[in-house]
Amino acid sequence: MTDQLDAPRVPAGAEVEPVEAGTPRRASARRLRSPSFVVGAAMVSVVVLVGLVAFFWTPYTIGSRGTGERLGGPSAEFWLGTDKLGRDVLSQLMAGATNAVVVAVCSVAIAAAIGIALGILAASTTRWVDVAVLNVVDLMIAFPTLLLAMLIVTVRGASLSSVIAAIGISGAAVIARITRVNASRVLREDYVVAAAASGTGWWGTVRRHVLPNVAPTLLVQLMLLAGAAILAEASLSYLGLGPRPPYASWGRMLNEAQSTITAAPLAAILPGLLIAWTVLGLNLLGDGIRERSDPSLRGDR
Amino acid sequence: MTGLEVRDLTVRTSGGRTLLDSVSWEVPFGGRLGIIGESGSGKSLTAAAVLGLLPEGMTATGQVLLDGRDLLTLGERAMRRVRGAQVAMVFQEPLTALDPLMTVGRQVAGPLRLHRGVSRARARELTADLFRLVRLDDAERILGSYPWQLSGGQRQRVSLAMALACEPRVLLADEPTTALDVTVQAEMLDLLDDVVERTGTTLVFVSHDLPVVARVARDLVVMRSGQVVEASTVAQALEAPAHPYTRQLLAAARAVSRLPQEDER
Repeated sequence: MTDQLDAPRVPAGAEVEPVEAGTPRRASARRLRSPSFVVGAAMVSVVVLVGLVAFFWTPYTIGSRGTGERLGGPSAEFWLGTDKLGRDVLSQLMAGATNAVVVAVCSVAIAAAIGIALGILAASTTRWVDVAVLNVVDLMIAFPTLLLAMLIVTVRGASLSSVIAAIGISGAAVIARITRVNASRVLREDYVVAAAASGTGWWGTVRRHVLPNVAPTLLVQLMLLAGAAILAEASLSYLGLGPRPPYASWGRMLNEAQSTITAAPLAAILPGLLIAWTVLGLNLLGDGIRERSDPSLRGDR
Repeated sequence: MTGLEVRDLTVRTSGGRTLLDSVSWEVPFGGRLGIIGESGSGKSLTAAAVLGLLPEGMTATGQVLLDGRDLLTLGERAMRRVRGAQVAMVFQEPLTALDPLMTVGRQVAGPLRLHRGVSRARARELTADLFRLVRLDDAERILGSYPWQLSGGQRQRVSLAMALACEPRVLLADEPTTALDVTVQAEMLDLLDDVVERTGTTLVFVSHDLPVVARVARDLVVMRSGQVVEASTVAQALEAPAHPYTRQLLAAARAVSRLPQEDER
């Protein structure tokens, strides 16, 4: 049986002949071999794991008052030394991981919930609603996260939830726009018309066709957003707009260690390295997900 | 009349352009109507208007009577219960008409679960039966396949199975063989012919290709620039085309000599 595989939407390397039943499984095994996916997932897992552990246990409690000598070097008692208040750097770094994970997960969840809902709404209603939503979204994107965070902090005070709200809301604008673009592309597809022709309603179409088809793109964006959220939280905390103790924060550690960087370099270098590590891991993970969902980047097929 | 009747169907854009101009035709239940015309003649738009799926900004006036009930007056909810259940459609491009991320088994089961409310397991059984009806060998394996894992002919059979899932009274086929190559096209036409015969489904077959229409349809409507220029039977149109445009189509088809009465079949 000859075929019409010149159609552009065939995933690269789609077999012309009917293939064996095991193919989807083999394909997923191949996806997992994407190096950036594996490396990114490993890097992020380490942070998540440390964050989980620190949620229940850290070598020393995270208080505003230290337990050791000030600016101590690494020792058997304090593996990574102590900061200028005599607090254990390792414990703070671990608790900082918890903070980073919480900020990333919560702000991404908020961004996804608001952004996807707005994007789908904009894509599937009348032109007027679409234009209105797009204008609001553009305005939001133009509005700096930092400024929004300052506004929220002024109103609600500096706290973990203020930071999450600020990052989540500005992320929602980005996610809304990406969802809108992709959803309206999917809504024009023949299979959506075919679904309508067989009696599927709006919600059924969104659930069965639109969401699954925009999911790969969105997943990549949400990963990148998680990285951006961690960076934004670090910046806000560095500026003193972030969560207050007893919450530890890498950004605040950077700020506090800044003045003593020559005496205790580890307390300044390590939070920076961890921020870079986590964001890099999330970006690699995002790339990995894109590689497995975008056939044009799937070089081996 | 018991059947599908389109009466004075007129479609206009919001800008006031008339795309369909008082189109009227009818097909009794169990009948087979071919609608033929060049691209832009409004034949596909007619099919879309019957299902109430006109692109945004277009409005239809006139009547679309299914068993005497005017579909144009139905609300969206009532219309959703007609689509797929009473009037179903097969599309031109079998690849893009199937969601690339969903197994074809789930896609065909979609209308069944929607209109009949059958369980997942039962829908799967019924889908396998449908695959056998459209002569998809190895139905069990195809259930779990994705569209891109199937050949063009297999995909179009899947689309046909999906359209027939809820045993609709009318099947609208919009150029269902145009995207297939000639050998597969012939198989598909035979299959359509056979399936429609066996299930007693009313067929409205839209195409630009006269020999293809002649193969499956009995009645014929010739459309040009949004109007019906000739309505007769296929046999009559082949013998004594009344309208100059029909004669032109016939001459064009004869030129490539694929008309059924001219080969040895």
